[in-house]
Amino acid sequence: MNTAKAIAIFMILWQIGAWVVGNTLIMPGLLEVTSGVLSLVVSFNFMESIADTLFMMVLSWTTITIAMFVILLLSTVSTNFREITYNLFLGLQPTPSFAWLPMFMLILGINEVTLLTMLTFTGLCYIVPNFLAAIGTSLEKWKKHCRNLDMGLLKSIYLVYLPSMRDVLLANFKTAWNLSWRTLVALEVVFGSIGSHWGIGTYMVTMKDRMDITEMYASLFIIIAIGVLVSALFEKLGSLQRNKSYGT
Amino acid sequence: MMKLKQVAPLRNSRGLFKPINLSISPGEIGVIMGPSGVGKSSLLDSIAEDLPYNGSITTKGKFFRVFQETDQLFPWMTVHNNLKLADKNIDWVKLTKRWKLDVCLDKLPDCCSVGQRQRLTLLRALHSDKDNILCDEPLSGVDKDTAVTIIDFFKKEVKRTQKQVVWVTHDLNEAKMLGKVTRIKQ
Repeated sequence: MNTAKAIAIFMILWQIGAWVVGNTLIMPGLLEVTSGVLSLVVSFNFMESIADTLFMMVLSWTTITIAMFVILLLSTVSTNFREITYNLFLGLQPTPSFAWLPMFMLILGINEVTLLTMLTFTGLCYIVPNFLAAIGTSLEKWKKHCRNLDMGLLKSIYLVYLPSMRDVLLANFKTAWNLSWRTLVALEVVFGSIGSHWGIGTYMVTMKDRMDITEMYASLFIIIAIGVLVSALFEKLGSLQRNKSYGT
Repeated sequence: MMKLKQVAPLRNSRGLFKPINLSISPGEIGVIMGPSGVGKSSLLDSIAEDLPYNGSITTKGKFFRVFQETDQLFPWMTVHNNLKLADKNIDWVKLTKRWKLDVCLDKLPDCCSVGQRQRLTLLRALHSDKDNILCDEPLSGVDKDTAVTIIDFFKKEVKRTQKQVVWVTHDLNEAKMLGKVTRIKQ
């Protein structure tokens, strides 16, 4: 309900802004942008751009998930590994991900692999320290009980450690998704096409270059909408889990 | 049979208290009593071979440890699933019915009372495949009336299952109700 109110306020402010500016080539009104959004949704080129961006996000999230599972596995068996990795990523966390970009570009060139590396790195830098802290707490509380019940490593990860950390995991995955999404769209806007990658940010900046301002803003609205939808999805997932946990 | 001869846990090569002797037969509860911080939990660590000790400990089989916390069942799975983790082949419905705990089976542990949770934890320990149960002040978070009910239930179940139990506590009344008491002195 509050999200709906926030969206309504945003739209009202937008329309007021458009009236104040009074130039559709700088800031078109809501009606123009909405019709732009509708025409974009049926445009093959635009959908292809969205698919490119979302595919890159899925690819980076798959990589992050695999990396997290390996880290979880190693952290459960080795306290030294957990502590060293925790400190390493904690040290890297405040560094802006864009600061690493020149290095990645020098080593990998300007292509999809660089994008993937940036996104994975951004996600991992945010998640790993919080995830490892959660693993530490979970191990401290539940390891002795797993031992009591003669649980093997994989069984204890699946039945105990992951469920005990699910709230922390969801919250961190959500924030890391937001960070990666922002990084990816920003890279697309700054670099245009990257290798054969042609994402939603690239589409938006191309529309601006062609002076197709309505479509440019329509792309921006869709970028905002995707962000809001994914955040809402994570929220829903979190509340479902909580309800299941407490049997309400 | 579990036998402790002149046993004292070691920290930095020093015994934590005066060595004690204790023998526990199957179906019996050996109560260890002593003030807080004397090393009662360390004694349980030594019995479980997690901490070095002086003297000799003779026992057969593995250990199931029951801790102080009142949330020892995994809160994200139902009580029935929690119990099945200890042994899949036991008829937990029948067993919990005997102690009027069957109402909890389909609930999450958080939806049961503290007393019910502790009885379920102890029931799971007693019906696991371990021969020795090491209880570390499991009634510390429970009120007196509930503690009396739990002790009565526990003593009957220990006799039935013929497990060997070491129970540490600092509460004299609790110790007297449970069985033969060995006091720890510094």
